[in-house]
Amino acid sequence: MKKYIVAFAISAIIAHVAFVAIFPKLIMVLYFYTTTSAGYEENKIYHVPPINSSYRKVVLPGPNLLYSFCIYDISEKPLLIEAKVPENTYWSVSFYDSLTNNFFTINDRDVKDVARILLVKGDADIKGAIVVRAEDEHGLILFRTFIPDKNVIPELDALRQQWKCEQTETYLFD
Amino acid sequence: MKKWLLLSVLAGITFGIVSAYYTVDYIAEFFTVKNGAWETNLLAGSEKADIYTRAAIALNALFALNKSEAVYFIAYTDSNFNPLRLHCDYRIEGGKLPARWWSITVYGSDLFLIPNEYDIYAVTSESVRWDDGKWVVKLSQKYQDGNWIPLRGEGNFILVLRLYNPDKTVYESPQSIELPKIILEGCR
Repeated sequence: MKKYIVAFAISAIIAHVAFVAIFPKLIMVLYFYTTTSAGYEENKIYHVPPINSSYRKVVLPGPNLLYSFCIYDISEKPLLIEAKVPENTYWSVSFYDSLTNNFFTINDRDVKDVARILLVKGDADIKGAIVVRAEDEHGLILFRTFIPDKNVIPELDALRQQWKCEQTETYLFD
Repeated sequence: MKKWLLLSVLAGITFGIVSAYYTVDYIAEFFTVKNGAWETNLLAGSEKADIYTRAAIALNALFALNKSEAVYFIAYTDSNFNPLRLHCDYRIEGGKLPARWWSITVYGSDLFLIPNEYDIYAVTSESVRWDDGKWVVKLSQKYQDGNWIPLRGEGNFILVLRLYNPDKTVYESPQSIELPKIILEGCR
């Protein structure tokens, strides 16, 4: 009897810790799967319409932010993010790995005019771009723009249509 | 004999997974910091987060920013620690908060926005009407003049206070900064 109890306890503890540890990854895989199944491609930027109560994809959506996102896969090539930074409002780009960690964020206080960010795996030293090193080949980039007033949404929306998130070659920066 | 051993292991795995799913929030709660009705977990979005916090954030606040970019305070109760209920009226009182900008948003217990015909779900430091450095926001099912977020339906709701580009004091001593008071005015 004792060995069954020990077997139960050990397997329960291992399963418990393992499940908690991989749970964020499961959530991200599910998010990537449902998003790409809905037709959204990797390494491409998409702009979420202004948030209202009909939005049911990610919990706690911010109704005062305009969101854009890019699911990345840098297993083959680095990713170039280019965005004209809106003036006089909060703007940020955040990078999340496949464990949901926010491993890098840059905002409109850090960069003016045009943000040019290169997401690479491993080491790179490239002029002309902010280099972000990802340890994980897959993840998500989230752009947030604060809507100070609903009247400026068309202007902010027009601006973000010009943003890029696409695969690139590092030699283009030499 | 082997069959019973295998069954013990399978039962253990099942128990482990189910217990993990249902205890993540409770265990992550140990890592939260409280300030009146508000609570925050400064490890949200951080690579330094423990596995329970990371799992709880993935479940309840996916794609949270790390603390230097934004700090999220959540209230499940009013300032007297009574659960926030959709059929009650509340007054939130505050002043300047130590951040570049802030927002207060109402969510249903499912963590999504509550539909209302006015399309109003939140107030921000930019949209709120200030009066001599202070502001008051009403939460009610009935139309209110001034700063108002409509409540609809039955059951509980939560409030999320987001402080963007917070001052260091917010994440160095979140328990001691002055946060808005949530005051129950009455129930229907």
